[in-house]
Amino acid sequence: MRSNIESFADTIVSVVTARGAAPVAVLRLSGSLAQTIVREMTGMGFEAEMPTHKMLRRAILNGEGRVLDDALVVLMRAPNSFTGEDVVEFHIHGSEPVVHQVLERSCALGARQAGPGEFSLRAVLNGRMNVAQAEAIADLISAGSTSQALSAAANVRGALSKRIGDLLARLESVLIDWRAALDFPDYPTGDGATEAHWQVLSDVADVLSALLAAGRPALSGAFRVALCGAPNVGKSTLLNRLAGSERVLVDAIPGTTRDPVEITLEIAGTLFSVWDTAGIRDDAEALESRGIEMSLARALESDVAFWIIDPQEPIWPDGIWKQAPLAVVMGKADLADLECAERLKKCAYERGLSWAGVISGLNGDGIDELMTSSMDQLRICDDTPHLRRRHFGLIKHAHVHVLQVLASESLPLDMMARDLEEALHALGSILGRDVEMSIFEGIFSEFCIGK
Amino acid sequence: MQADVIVVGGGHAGCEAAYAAARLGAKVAMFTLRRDRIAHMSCNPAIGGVAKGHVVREIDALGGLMARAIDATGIQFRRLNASRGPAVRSSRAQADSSRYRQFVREEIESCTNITIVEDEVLALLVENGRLVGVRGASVGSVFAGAVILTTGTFLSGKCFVGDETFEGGRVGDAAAKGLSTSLREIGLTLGRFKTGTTPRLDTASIHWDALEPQSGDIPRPCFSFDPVRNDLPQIQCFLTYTNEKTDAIVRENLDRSPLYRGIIEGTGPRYCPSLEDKVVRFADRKRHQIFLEPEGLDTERVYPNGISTSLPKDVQDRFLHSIVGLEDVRILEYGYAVEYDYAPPTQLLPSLMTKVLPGLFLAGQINGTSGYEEAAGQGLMAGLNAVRWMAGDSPAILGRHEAYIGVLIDDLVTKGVDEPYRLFTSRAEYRLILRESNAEERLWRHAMAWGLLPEDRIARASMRDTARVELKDRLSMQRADPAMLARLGLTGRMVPGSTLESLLRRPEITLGHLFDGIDDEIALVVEESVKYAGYIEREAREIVRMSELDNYRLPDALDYLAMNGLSNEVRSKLLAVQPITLGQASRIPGVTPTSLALLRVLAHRVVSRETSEGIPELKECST
Ligand SMILES: Cc1cc2nc3c(=O)[nH]c(=O)nc-3n(C[C@H](O)[C@H](O)[C@H](O)COP(=O)(O)OP(=O)(O)OC[C@H]3O[C@@H](n4cnc5c(N)ncnc54)[C@H](O)[C@@H]3O)c2cc1C
Repeated sequence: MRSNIESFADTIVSVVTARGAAPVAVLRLSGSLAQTIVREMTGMGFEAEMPTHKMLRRAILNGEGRVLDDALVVLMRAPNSFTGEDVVEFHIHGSEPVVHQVLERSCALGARQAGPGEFSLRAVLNGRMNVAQAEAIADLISAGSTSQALSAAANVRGALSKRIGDLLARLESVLIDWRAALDFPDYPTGDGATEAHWQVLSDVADVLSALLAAGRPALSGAFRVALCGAPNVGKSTLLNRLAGSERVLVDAIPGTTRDPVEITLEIAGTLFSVWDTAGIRDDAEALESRGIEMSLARALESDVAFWIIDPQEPIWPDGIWKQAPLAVVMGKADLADLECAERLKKCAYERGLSWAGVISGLNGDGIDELMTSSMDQLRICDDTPHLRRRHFGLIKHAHVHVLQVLASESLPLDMMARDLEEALHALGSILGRDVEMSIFEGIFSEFCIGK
Repeated sequence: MQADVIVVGGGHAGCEAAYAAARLGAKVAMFTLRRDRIAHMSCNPAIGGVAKGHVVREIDALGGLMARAIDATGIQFRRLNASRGPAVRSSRAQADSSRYRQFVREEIESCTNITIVEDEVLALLVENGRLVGVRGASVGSVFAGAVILTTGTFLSGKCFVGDETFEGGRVGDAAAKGLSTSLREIGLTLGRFKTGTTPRLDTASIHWDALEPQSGDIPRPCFSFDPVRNDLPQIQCFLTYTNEKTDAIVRENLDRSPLYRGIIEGTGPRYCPSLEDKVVRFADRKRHQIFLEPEGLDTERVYPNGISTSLPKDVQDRFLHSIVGLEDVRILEYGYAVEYDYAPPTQLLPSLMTKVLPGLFLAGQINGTSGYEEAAGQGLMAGLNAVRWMAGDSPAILGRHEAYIGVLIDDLVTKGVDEPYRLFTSRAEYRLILRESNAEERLWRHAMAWGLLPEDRIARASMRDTARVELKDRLSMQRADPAMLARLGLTGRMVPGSTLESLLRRPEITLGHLFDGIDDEIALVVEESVKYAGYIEREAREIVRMSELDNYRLPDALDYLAMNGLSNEVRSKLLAVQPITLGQASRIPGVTPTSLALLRVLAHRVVSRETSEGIPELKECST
């Protein structure tokens, strides 16, 4: 709930070289998780083999073991480092997609973006700097806070701030009703979730996902593609085709892809990030269903989610899946004819789904066409707000939690309220607004409560 | 006369304060204006409700009185929000208010080291800047090491009924007049709040058969973790509504309401609007509900919940007569508003001791709160901390992640109040961890360490703890065989060999399906912790993250005014609150993450100057 508050228990990461097209970028990680993160990212043990203060050449791997970059890595063990904590520096290639992925990877492994002056601050607090230097840091932070405040203001001025403000107001109106019902059950405060509430939530989810879609390509440079569908329709076969190797375990037993697997590849000069996701079944057991939750999150985050169907046994998306940017793809083209494809295409349109084409994972037919034609459909709006990474993260956080509310019809009202609060706090901190206050104001002005 | 601790006030805060201090072995003198009004319910005859019920359970886990008192004297018990989530499930009970008073008074009287003094405290005794005791109107000077003020609505209390105003802490009680002056003299700032209450009705004059009854829940929820005997017959409450005629009568007479004539200066709570307020602010509502709640089994007094008012008496008569069931009602006591002094609570340390005068503690309504439960929770902590302070022990402080009492006190001393404060579940950021059901699990070890629990209670608390742990173990170790899955209708949906814990995560499965003969209370806590494990873990992770800030102690003498780089607003807020930890600073409204980072550096500078350690020159280690 208070995730906007920065704790020094967090491990922090930041690009410490200037942004932009430079040949080399330096990423610095500091904190107790630095060891674990470097081990995960380079496949090497920190304590066992790594000398401190020596520059080494290592491959940086993504979550799936694929090489992201060839880098120079320096480890500086606590307390003999700039901050006095374990510090890792990655010297990597300066292209935005590479930097972005390495950053994202370290955040996925538990780090968070450093605040202004935070490395120096830690240095001061861990006795790595003297008092005079501390004074200088203090000036730096206060200066930083002004310029930061200015740029934050500039960022949230105009279109984006209006949009976020409007979303906040809509979500608040729902939360006010729910909180009133929860805290004042003895008063005529309603019974909780109504049709109107669901409508507001799903509208807000749409706007959030549009914001995300518009902001993402500008941010990362890579288009995100999620492969989804029922188990065993050939998602993993397709991914292997794309990757050109047997990277994903392909198994004939449905449901083996438990964690989403990601590869990055270039087709016709454009970078694609492709996720494989767990197969969707209604009756999946616990572990599997956690995988599916992740799959859903991935699909929702993607620029396009290919919903792959088996021509012999088509299974269609419904419910919350329809929130994702779905495009239906017929897989296993080697097993079906043209007529069958036409029939399925019609079915897709009837369900309000878009159609992306026909492929065969087995012989690779149609795959390149699919990727390039879908790229054209990924419109980048002209009014794309330039989201700072922080905003993007917060909007994403809000989006995931609104979707969780939408998906939790069978959960008690308070649990839905919790997720909604989470979403509101995320959006509120973009605008620096105290959500709690407006909720209380709202409850007491809208409901007549009292003895 | 000489005592260890003086408690001024015999309300809900005062009683818990005296009782806690006495349990720790202190000799307590408890002052009250009227002995027969110890633990009096000034307003509605009920204990508990959402978030308030949580506090009552916590008080019980900490060895206090309130839970046992209401369990013993309740005449209707209800469970609220049963299906709306574990964090908001709460209990509420109607009390037989005179039996409630009697129960608490007998408990207090049976403590050999509490002396009840029926007298008004006029002033604090301060010698050479040190607090040494109080001066009573008739008993004269009484000396003690610590003084706890729990004067409720009595400080310069002024009551209003229409055009009439009279001095009083509440109807039937005199006001406390001298003490406010004494508090200003030692340097405390006082503010003015107001609250109001409803007329009390004569049961014989109500047409009950015209009204809709509401019964309690069976089985009765209870507040205490220990069983408490209660053979009292259980009653029904009744529901009626105001109507357009009622509204019209109120509206026509607004010019005679002290509220609307601007005579009352104090700020009232928005969540307890008077009927005047309701009619004006919610003009579109056709009706407002009124619960008719008997104040006890042997009394003719009925409390109509929902129509707090300070309109003149003739108007009260007229609007009541417009209501179904109340056409011929006789008023036994007219509704009134009361305005009183409170001490803005940012003047307190988290131990509830004032910053200006060591040894002086404040608890209850005097701190700007309202409600019996809020008062009692503070009273208990003040009693405990007064004794610890005298013994030179560190203050006992409950974290926001440990108790609603912790949330309450932290909110008061960190954020301050701008209207009478009450608890809501949404004030607690870790509310899934602060459930009514697990109050003892959360707090009994603290209570034991602080010396608040008698031996026999420790034994029972520890037994219950073992039972919970064993049940959790059984759930995580025992596995379901095909027969069990079949019996539960889960064949094909869960694989054989799944733990019982994973079965229990399914919405349709309860502990009752898995085991027989488990104590209901134990079953509830454990079941909640399994079913909502995901949400609970999320909160637990956040607590760990925030603990770094909460464990960072700020040096005592920070010169906030000299901190360049912090905005004036932030500086003056920090100066007013003087936070103990960085965590507390982070919760002061207006303190941004950046000002927090800066505060860290500046605080560090002070510490390193103080310790004047040799600090190494900057080493830039990166290549
Ligand atoms: C008219 C009215 C309306 C209320 N409405 C609400 C409401 O809407 N919602 C709600 O939650 N709560 C309400 N309450 C508040 C509720 O009664 C209090 O919050 C709660 O009782 C406070 O407990 P306390 O222990 O702080 O003070 P109290 O219960 O008020 O007790 C104060 C005690 O201090 C003693 N005392 C005071 N001054 C002196 C002195 N100088 N010397 C010796 N003894 C002294 C008194 O004799 C008394 O025993 C209302 C109270 C009143 C009077």
